[in-house]
Amino acid sequence: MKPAPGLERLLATCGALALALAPHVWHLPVWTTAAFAAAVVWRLFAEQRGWALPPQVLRLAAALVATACVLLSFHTLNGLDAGTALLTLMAALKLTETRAPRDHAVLVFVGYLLCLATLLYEQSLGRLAYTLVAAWLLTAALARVHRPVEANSAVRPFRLAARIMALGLPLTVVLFLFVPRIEGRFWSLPATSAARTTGIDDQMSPGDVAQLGLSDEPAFRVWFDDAVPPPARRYWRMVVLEGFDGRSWRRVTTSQDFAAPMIVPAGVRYGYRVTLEPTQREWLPGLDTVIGWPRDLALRGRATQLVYVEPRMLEHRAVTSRLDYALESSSEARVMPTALPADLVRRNLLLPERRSPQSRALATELRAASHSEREYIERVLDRFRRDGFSYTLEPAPLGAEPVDEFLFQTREGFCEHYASAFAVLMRAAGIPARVVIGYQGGEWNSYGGYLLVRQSSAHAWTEVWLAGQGWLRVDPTAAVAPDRIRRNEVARVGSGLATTRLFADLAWLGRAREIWDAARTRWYESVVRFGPDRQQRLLEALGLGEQGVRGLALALTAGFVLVALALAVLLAWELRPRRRDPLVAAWDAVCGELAAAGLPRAASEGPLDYARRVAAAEPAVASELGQVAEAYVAARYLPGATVTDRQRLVALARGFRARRRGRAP
Amino acid sequence: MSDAADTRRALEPVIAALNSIVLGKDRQVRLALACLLARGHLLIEDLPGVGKTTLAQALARVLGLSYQRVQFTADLLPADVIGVSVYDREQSRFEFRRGPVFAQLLLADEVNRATPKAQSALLEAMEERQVTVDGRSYPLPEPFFVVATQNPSYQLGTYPLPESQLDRFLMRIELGYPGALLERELLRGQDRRELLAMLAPQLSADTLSALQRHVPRVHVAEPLLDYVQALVRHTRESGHFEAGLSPRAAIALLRASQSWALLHGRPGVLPEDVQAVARAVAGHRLEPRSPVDGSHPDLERLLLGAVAVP
Repeated sequence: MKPAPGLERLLATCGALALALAPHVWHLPVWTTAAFAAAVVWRLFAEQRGWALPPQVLRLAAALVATACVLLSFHTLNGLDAGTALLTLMAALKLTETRAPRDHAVLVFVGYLLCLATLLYEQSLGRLAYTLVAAWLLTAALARVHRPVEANSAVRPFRLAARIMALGLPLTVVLFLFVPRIEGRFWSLPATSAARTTGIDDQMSPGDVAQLGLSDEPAFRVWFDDAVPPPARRYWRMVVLEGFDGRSWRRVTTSQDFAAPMIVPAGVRYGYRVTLEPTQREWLPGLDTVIGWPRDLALRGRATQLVYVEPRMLEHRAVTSRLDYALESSSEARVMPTALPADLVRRNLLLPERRSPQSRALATELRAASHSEREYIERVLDRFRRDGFSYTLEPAPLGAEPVDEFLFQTREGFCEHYASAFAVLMRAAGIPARVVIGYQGGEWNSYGGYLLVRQSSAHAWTEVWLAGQGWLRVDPTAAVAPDRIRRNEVARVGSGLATTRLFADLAWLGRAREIWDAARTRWYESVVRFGPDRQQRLLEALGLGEQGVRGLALALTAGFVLVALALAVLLAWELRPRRRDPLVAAWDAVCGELAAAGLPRAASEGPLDYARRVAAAEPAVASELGQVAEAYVAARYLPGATVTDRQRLVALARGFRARRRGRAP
Repeated sequence: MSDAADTRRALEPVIAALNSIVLGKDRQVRLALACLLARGHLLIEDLPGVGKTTLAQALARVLGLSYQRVQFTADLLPADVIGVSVYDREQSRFEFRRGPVFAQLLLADEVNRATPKAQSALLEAMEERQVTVDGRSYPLPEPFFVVATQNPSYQLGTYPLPESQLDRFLMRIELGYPGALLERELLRGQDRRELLAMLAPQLSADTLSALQRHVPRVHVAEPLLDYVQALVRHTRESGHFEAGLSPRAAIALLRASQSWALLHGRPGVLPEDVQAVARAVAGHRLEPRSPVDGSHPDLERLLLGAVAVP
């Protein structure tokens, strides 16, 4: 059964409003959402049962209480969170007095504001699509209340809303392109994703991790200028861990870190641009080994804050929103090949006293059997390859001596276990060694032409220093699980990831994921990143580059005029007079002539009836008009009408008009 | 009978004869005749004594049709209308005794006095143009024309016909009181029964059936189809009516218009023809949404006045 019109309107408005509110539920206090839901349910019941709406005093008191509650929980009415909460509560209160179309309109506009707030929190493509749907339904609800009940079919308000939004699109584009952009954060956007930091940390304790969670979230995307490194070369350095306490590796910071290392570029050079997702950390990934500075101005002021600490990138400010920067790397650069400062040697040889005795003994034994440091490294890697070591994401937990237990008992683990044990064995044999963490690999997105590195590609490896060669990257995990490196295949062993793997095997799903990622990246690149500099470039392309704000005003005005003209043309086209039958035109002309004399034909009046009526009022024209009407009827409605009949009518009509004009000028 | 003028010449005396019996009701007489020519059935709704029966009888006489009359009452059984099977002792088999429905013109008087069961027996026969008893079908005579009369339903003890049954009647007309002058003539003149008895058939059975066959062939121009469609669309979309006209009603409107055009000797249908029959055809099929003041909105204004003639 179709609900009553009042209930139907309320349902439409409440539904659209709820949709607009839904994305805010995560960052609103529970009680605001609950209050809104309660108001909706109560109002719908009241409508159905015909309950009276609360009196004004009560509503006023409720509004004051709601404001006080927001003040209490946010300590302000300003800002995005508090504002959204207040808006939600006011929508709930407005519902309790909603009767007339005007009240619905207020609710719908609250809904629009909620949509706007949604986009202030997040500007992803998916969020935009959702918001557009919400705005569409809100507009449809608005259309529904402003049209007579009979005129609304089930779909008509939705069609109308879609049309309105489509017509608004050109104006949106003009506003987007030419409204002056304000540099920096105009809105004080909250750091929303602070709570869910994934990825790289500046310490690692392999023994404590029983299961490594893998997230498919993107970590960063890379656009290469020309050459793309092969999968096995895709090591993205982020943090160097040098301090070891027998269990955990930590980052060591001293003032000496800021001395620039000596780097000799060699091998292939890669120029590229990175778009880093927010990490809430200050490190930036760079392809091993970074040799060049940002060449374009994507970083502008930030560039000076990038501090180069050995071949790792550091930014002093935490990355809270997407960050773009350009770098240059080389595939076989040598880092500090001649000498290592004494304090760095010391730091990279340091092992805690009386820890990992078995490992030290093994190191001594193997080192004694080797003729060179190179050979020793090979022997250790050989041991990983041969002695029953396996790669797993769900290793057995380790106890008090994690390195010894890993090397001699469990013999299973992921990159962190191998990197840690390898570095310990190196240091025990007197070779400076350290752990590097970052990402390894990346998926090539052929639709977008970029490399996508996901959080699941997080990796740990080691670097050893050999005299004359400098720091050398050694990835012990590659010895155990070559596929992990060669094909960038995270070994998805274990139950939890079985489904992920199943989906990864479906080619079309992989393609769909690729397309989606390319689409949202394109969205970010072309829309979200459209800032003052791009706007300036656009103005220059239009020849208004030197005008500054005046140029923008000019472009805005021109855009408005163009849009208005286009709409006018569209309207004119829709209202264009349909091509008429000359027969009808002749008859209408005769009728028009008589209408001027005060005897208009009603639209619903048949020709013979009209002729009779006019004849009664004005007997002088009776016979002649009768002839015209008969001719019209014969040519238009009766069978066997020929071209002659039609011409006869046109001639008669012309004669009739001519005579009338002659008689009564 | 293809020439329009011939048609007119054939029908003029029929109309004249009818008008001599039913005084001052030229329009209703013509509608009734048009209804018959379009092979439709006619419902006359009015108070007793305004000449419903006289009109039906006159039609039968003038057209030379066999005539039967059934007075519908509360205890009328379906068998009283359609007939009954009786056992023939001598031939030791059942024999079907045809009921009054086996007439070319059946007057079903006060059809809303009978129970729905008896009503539906008649209405089925009207629709099927045959009667089925004990598994055997008996075709009804040709032409077969039912004139049902009905008292306005606010009278006590009636079973008003439901909408679905009303749809079986092509037209519904009202006769109304005669004007003062005509009533005087009625009072002064001869008894209608005697006049009826003196009436001679004006049309042969062949001519009648030829005319009936000709109705669907009356020319309908494209703009006129537009007009009929616009009218029907208006009933569905304007919101002035509870429910719009069905496609069957649209066909009925077109047929009645064709019949009306034929009756007036026109080879094609004019918008005026549609307008002339619209009230009779659509009136009983549409329920105008009543305005708050309880007045009965005028169909002419709501429908015909609201749709432009193409």
